[in-house]
Amino acid sequence: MPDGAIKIISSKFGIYYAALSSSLTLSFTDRNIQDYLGLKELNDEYLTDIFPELFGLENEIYDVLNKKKEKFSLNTINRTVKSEIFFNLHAFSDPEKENSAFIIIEDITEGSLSLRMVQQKRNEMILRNNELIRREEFITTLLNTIPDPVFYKDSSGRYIGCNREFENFTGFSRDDIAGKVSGILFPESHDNYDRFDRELINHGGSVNYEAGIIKGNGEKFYVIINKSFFTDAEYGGTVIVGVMTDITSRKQMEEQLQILGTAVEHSPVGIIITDQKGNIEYSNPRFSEISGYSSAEVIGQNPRFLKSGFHDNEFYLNLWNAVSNAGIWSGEILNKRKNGDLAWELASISPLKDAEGNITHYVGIEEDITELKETMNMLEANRGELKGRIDTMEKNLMIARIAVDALLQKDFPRIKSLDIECRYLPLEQIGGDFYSVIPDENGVNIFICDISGHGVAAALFLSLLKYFSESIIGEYSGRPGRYLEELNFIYWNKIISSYFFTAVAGNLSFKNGMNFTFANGGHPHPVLLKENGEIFFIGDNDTVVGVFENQKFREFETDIEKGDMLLFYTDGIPETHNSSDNIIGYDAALLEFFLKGKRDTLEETMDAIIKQIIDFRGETNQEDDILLLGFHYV
Amino acid sequence: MASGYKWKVVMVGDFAVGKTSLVRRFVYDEFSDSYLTTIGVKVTKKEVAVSDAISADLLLWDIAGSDKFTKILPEYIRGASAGIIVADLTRRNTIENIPEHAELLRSENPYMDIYVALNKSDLVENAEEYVELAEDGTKGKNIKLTITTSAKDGSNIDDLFTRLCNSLLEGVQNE
Repeated sequence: MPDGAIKIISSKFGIYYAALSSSLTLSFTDRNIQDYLGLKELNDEYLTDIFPELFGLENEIYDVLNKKKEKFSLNTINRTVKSEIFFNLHAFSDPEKENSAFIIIEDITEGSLSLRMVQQKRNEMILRNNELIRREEFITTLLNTIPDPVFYKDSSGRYIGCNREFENFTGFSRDDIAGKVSGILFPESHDNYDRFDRELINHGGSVNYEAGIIKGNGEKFYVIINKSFFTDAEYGGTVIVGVMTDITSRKQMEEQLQILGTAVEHSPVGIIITDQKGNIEYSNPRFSEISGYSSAEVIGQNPRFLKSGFHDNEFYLNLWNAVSNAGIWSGEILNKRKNGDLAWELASISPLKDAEGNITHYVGIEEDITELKETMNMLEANRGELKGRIDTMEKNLMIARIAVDALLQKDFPRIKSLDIECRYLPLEQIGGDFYSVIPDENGVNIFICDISGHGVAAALFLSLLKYFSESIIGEYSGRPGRYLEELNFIYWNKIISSYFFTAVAGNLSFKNGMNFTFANGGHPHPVLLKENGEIFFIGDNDTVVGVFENQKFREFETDIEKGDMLLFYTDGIPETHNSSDNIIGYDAALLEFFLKGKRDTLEETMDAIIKQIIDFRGETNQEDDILLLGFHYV
Repeated sequence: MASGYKWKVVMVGDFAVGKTSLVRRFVYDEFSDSYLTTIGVKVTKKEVAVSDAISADLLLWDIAGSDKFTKILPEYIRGASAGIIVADLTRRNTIENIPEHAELLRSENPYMDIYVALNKSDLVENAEEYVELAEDGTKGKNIKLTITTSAKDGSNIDDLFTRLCNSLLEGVQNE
């Protein structure tokens, strides 16, 4: 190629060349390349000494020399000569010569610098974005680390974002609130929010206020909101930042304290609270009513001004010892009212302590018991008198009990072929059960009764009944109906109507074998227990004795055979209770009871029946007299 | 001093991690705060004394940082005796990308000595804690050394290249 053409290609197109021999040495046929690379006039230099960029790539070059490859290129090599240059290096096989190649240098400085400018800008942008992302992550982390709910809004009051605690506290996520105004999220309070937002934007600084908010789940909470703002062009000029502090517990405590305060104010007992030195800090209205001192008069005073002088120093020493050691003193104390009257008070004093256990206050509670004390003193005075009267009554009762016991028949007439037995279990109180067995020329007159009521009155009526019943038996022997009618008349006539009795009156006659004629005035039916094991109630009963003026009583007659037992009893037996609140009863169960007790002799039978009654009752207390009267035709 | 050795060492890593700065600090013992993107490849030669009697020429290939937009050409890596993967301690993702660069170096030369330089240690506290993070990511990739460096204050740079040269010399002497 002519030198002129080479010069034009080099200067105008930035392409240079050198020749490469088989020994990897360079001969610079183009001198422009030396200028371009800043090399001195050199020939036969080793390839990688001039182009260290090809170090390690010698095999690639040999392939080109040997024509195994037509070309090898290494692009965008950067060097600083006078200034920075960029070039692509190409090795081409010499088509006309063996083991020879050309090194072509292609200057790309201009394009590379442009490319670098583009890449530089792109890299810087990426780095800036990374920094922005990192900062945003930092701010988000920072906000999420704040343990209080934080939110931020734009100047139109629309939420921009919030921290995680705000999400947890309100139940609304960041996405829920984004772009919304407080009216949608917190409908009850948004007027307040908007008012304070406007105030903040107009006057600057910061605002704080209490507000009630309805959370996402409908719960109402109380918060203190602290708001401030800063300017930011992206969000319309102003960004409002708010921090919420949950004061729900405090609010609830305030409400409780208010209720407590009201309760103390309206308490029916007097209450004073002193400081740790004992100076009164508070007294309630009831204290003023009791003591006569207004609250203003006692505040700052020591309660010792209430002392009546009744108690000695030891009393007060013991009082404060109890407060210190046991944490409370309670007892009766005599204080002096403002008007000089003395007042008995049931009082208690206890200390109030702070979280560390230090006493900060004392609370005194007092109740006016002056009237109660007076009443008690009066009662105490009357007690001695009452005791005397009770003693007299008990003495009288004891005498009456002895008298009643003396009235009851102990010995029965001895009659051939007839055994008579009685079992009587009286209550401690004097009861009204009575019986008599009186012989006549044909047999025996039997009378068993139960007078209503207990005690001395019952004993007196019982003695009257014994007197009347025995005084007229001779006249009515063998006519039990008439006998009861006469007793009814006497009783109705002579005794107050609330005292009546039930009775069976009968005559056991031996005239023709043995038969029993009887009348029944409201008494439990007599029982006939046959020798062969048959058992049944006999007769019927009329109404009780002593209630109606002209009461008539029917008579019944029953034959008694050898071996039969005739049993009489009062209601104490059928009405015996057990622990399950069951009673023996008046029906077949009672007959069963008696039948089970049947033995060969009357004595054994009576004992067996009484034992069964006691067993049936178990731990239950006896509630009535138990009387069992038996006759055995032997 | 006999100089018989010449080793090609390629510097790879994400953009703006300080590859060029590391070379400048090592070769010229200077540092510039201004950042200039490397285009293509710039080869810098440094003669180093590997022992009292032996020196070697290190050809340091400063290659444009690679990312998903710009890939490193295989010719740049071919024939290299060692590679230094540079990461930026202030950009965690550059540390996370170390294994990818190691893969690239190994694909061109499975026996290449690979070093990891965690650069910009002057900008972070407790730089040593990141060594463990980087080593966790390169387990099984036969990394010769992971070390924190600062092109700004020069810390550990001579140590890095000295150990690199010693290792290469040892390799040659063992052949």
